Amino acid sequence: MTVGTKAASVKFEGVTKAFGTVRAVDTVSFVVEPGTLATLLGPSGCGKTTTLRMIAGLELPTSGRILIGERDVSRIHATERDVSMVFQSYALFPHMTVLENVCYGLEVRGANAKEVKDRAREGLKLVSLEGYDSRMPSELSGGQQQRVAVARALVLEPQVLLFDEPLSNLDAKLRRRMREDIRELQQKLGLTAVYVTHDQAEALAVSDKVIVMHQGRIAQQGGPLDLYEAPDNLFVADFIGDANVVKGELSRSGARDHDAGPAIAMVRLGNLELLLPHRDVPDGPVDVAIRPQAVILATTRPGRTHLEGTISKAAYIGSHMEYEVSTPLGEMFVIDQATGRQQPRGRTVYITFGDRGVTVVKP
Amino acid sequence: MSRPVAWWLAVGWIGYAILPWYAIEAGFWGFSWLPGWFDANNAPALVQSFAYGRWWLLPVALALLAPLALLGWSKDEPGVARLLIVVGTAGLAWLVLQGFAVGLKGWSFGWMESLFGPLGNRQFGMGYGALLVAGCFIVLLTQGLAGLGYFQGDGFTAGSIGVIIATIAAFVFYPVFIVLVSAAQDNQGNFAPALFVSKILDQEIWGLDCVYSSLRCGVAWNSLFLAVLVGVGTTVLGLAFALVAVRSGFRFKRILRVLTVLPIITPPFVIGLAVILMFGRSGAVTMLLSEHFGIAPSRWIYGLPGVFMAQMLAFTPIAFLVMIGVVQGISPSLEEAALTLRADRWRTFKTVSLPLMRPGLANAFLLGFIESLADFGNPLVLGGNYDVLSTKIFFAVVGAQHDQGRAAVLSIILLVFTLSAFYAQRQWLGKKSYATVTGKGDAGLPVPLPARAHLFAYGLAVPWALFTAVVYVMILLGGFVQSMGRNHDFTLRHYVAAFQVGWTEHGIHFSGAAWNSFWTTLEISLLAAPLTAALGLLTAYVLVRQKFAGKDAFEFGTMLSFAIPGTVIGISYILAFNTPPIELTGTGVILVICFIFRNMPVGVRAGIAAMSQIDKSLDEASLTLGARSFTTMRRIIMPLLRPAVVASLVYAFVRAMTAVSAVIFLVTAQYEMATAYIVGRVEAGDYGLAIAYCSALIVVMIVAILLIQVLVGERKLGRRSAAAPISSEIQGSAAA
Ligand SMILES: Nc1ncnc2c1ncn2[C@@H]1O[C@H](COP(=O)(O)OP(=O)(O)O)[C@@H](O)[C@H]1O
Ligand SMILES: [Mg+2]
Repeated sequence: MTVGTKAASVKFEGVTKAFGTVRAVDTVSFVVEPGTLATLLGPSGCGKTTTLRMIAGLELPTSGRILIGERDVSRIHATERDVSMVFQSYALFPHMTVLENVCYGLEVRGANAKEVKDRAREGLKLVSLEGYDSRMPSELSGGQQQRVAVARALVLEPQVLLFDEPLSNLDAKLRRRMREDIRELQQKLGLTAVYVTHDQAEALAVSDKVIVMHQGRIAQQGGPLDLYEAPDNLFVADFIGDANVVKGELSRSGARDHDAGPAIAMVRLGNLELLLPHRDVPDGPVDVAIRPQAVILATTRPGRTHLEGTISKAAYIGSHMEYEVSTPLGEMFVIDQATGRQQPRGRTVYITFGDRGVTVVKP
Repeated sequence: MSRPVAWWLAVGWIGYAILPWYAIEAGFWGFSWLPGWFDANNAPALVQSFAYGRWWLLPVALALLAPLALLGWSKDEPGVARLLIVVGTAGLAWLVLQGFAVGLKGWSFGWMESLFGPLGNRQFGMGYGALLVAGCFIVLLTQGLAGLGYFQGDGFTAGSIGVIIATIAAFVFYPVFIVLVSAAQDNQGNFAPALFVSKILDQEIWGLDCVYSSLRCGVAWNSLFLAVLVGVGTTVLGLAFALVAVRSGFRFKRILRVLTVLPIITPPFVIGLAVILMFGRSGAVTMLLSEHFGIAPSRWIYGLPGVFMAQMLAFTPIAFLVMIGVVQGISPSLEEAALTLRADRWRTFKTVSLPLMRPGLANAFLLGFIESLADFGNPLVLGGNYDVLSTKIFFAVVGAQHDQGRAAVLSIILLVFTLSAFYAQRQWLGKKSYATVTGKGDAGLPVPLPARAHLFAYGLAVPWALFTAVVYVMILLGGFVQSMGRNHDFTLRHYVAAFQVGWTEHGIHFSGAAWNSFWTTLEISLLAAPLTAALGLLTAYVLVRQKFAGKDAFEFGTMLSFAIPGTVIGISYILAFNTPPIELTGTGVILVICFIFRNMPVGVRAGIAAMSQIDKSLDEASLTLGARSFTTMRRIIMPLLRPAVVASLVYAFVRAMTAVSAVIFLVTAQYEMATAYIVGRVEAGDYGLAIAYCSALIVVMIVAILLIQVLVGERKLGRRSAAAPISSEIQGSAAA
């Protein structure tokens, strides 16, 4: 494979971008290691695109420093950065053929004509689009256009490759396949990639690191597992996979410490007592996030301590059942994999929790 | 140091040390200065400052030396950017200061003489050397700003904005400013506010005698009255035409559409000329009436009736263009909704359709109003005793009075009128009139017109269309008859007089009287058109694609010259560019510059409209792929903008060919323009030659338009091709 990479790290140091009085991105710091894929995840309007555009150089930060590799690029225009971007709308040049599109970046950087063609063909092969050279972009399907956009960015062997919601215009099936392809390509070529999405499943599926943004700030960053299992705050808990947030009472006195494992505290939820990692949360009232999948419903009274609830809504989704259960702690959203055993509305159920998917949330 | 900076520094040094610093009387491109390169008139600034005692040019060298210290520095250093800003600003400031401080008679201002003592030296208008150095300083300054992260750190954008601002300041704001200044001076150049007040309140301008006596009213009232009449008249006719074209089963709609192109290619006073040929004392219609009905020929057409008729003919198509857009923009479903609510057709028309058109009607009115105020050609040939501001300005300068102060005062009044209308149009309507058909599927057919509206539309539009057709037939035929009205025998003598071509031993000899002005006009128009289009589209690019502080003011500045009547531009150029530092009167350059800045706003409008439809991510993609802004312009934006490019080129070319109001102040025997020449023939009563020349011009323009279309071509977008027709582009700009 001749398409290689010069993967470099991306580093934000207290970067702020203000549009007038609006702070679209507010004192954001993070590092993307070379050869890894990081996603910027968050609801619409939280500043993901702005962050990405600052990496590309399409916006310059109001304050703070941006480093790509060792170079401070804070004041450097897009053209002079070695960064390529795949746009949400693909941004294929409508007056050029597929091949001309892919050649464009190489051409304007002054490579010789023969090499340009060869490398462009190589790039198209990488995205499985051999033989589409002379099509116009308007003659391709959405997924194919997407691939051309990726090939066009790839052939420049950029230090960093950026994706702005690359899959949002595709249908659900294609989306899953494309995201796997992108991840595979990124790992195979060892690219540094930054990927913007508002879809948490997509983020968890492709990333080495997820940076969750909320109102221009970073809510939490870390590996997919960390975010899901140990959300730092309510926003992350709720945004990454659903969560039922209930009030509890934390105390460290009654809990034993394991020898090697994390420090454990006792958390009381109504008349239920759970042993959970205390995550340095002080004693007292605490929010507890409970994943819908972590709730176990039983129709017979279990032996250990439990809650009692009533099914208030039930929906059959095919792969699983979704319930709303009224409990002394409030309404709870529950996902039950056992579709064979459907609970009717009004049935009394006994609730316990699984080992994973219940966590105290930092205040 | 970055490449552009190094490059432009070299250009700056060429301008300073090699090219003649001052303007060359005989013209730079004649290269007559080459043999006497070291003379006091031709020498570059470096030589000027040492050998000819023009020491005030030395500091410029300092500013050009300072950046050399940066050779070898990385351009990422913030210090580099700051130094460039300081050097660029200081250099520009010094250029401007010395230019105004030292003139043809030494110090330009008395107080400088008393402060520093007599200078004993002088300087002339700046030349190409100075131009290159100024360009160099602008680039240094803007590259410095970009280096500090302004304009997204993009040097090309920064440079473009710098150049646009500098040229507009020099060729729009500075001349207008000079008009204001000279209005407040007496003719010896002393500040005289009392005189200004008495001039601006003059009875001849504001007198209302015509209301209660048989005396004439002031010119300001005359202009306003005419403009209101024409505004109302063209709007009503425009509406009638639009209703016929859009809402009726009229079978000859295509022919109506032709009407919309006519005013674009017709020199403004040609209509006036045709009106004379028909209704003048010996006009065709006048003669018919006197032969068959015994109505004695008179001069009734000279004055308000004639000017009004000519302007109505000339400007109705503009109102038509605006109203087509407005009538088309009314969603049929709104009218259908009204019908289902049991309103009959007339009620629907009156209560739904008309109110929806109100902004469009006001827009058309204001455009007609502005056009009428600014019109110079028709009042000139048809005005008689009915004075209007634009002709009064002209006669204040060229007539026996030669009173520049008075011309300046009249210009200010005219400028206030047009700017107010322009401001009202933009503030109050500009935004609304852009709301057109949305992408949403809008089912429903236009409701047929109610009988009364039908009658109104046909009753006005059809006779007027016929009248217009007759006028154009007159224009085409007028050149082929001995003498319109008196002797209708076929002849080619007018064409021969104008365009005779002979053979001599040296080859073709263009002996006709018109050739001189014809070639000049063609040359200047061909030079001005691409420059106008380029500057207009560049401005549009900056306005649509870039964010920067002061953008609104920037946009207003670029659009301002649209609202300045040609007469005012003409007088302001004469006042501003007759003396150093910029001395251009009598050259072809001043004509080109005048056209560029007068016609640029339409290029800007067409560019903005077209560029707003091109997704911004296309140029961003190009930038992130490593293309510079300039490459992005050339390879991505321009090909997608083909229709706007064509529209701007056509418009710029045609307007340069047909302009008369500003040009008439600026032509000389050497640089005679076709329109000015024709006006001269009309004043001499040589109607046959004038009308023959006009028809020839119209034909040339049609050919040129077709050629431009073929040359620039259409954009290819594969299957989903979406090339907009030119007429709609121009329509968009006329409505702007
Ligand atoms: N060019 C701009 N001018 C003004 N405000 C902007 C601009 N771009 C983005 N914003 C604002 O910044 C915020 C973040 O936008 P964006 O980064 O596009 O969010 P996301 O991509 O996460 O949906 C939004 O409130 C948006 O309105
Ligand atoms: Mg976004």
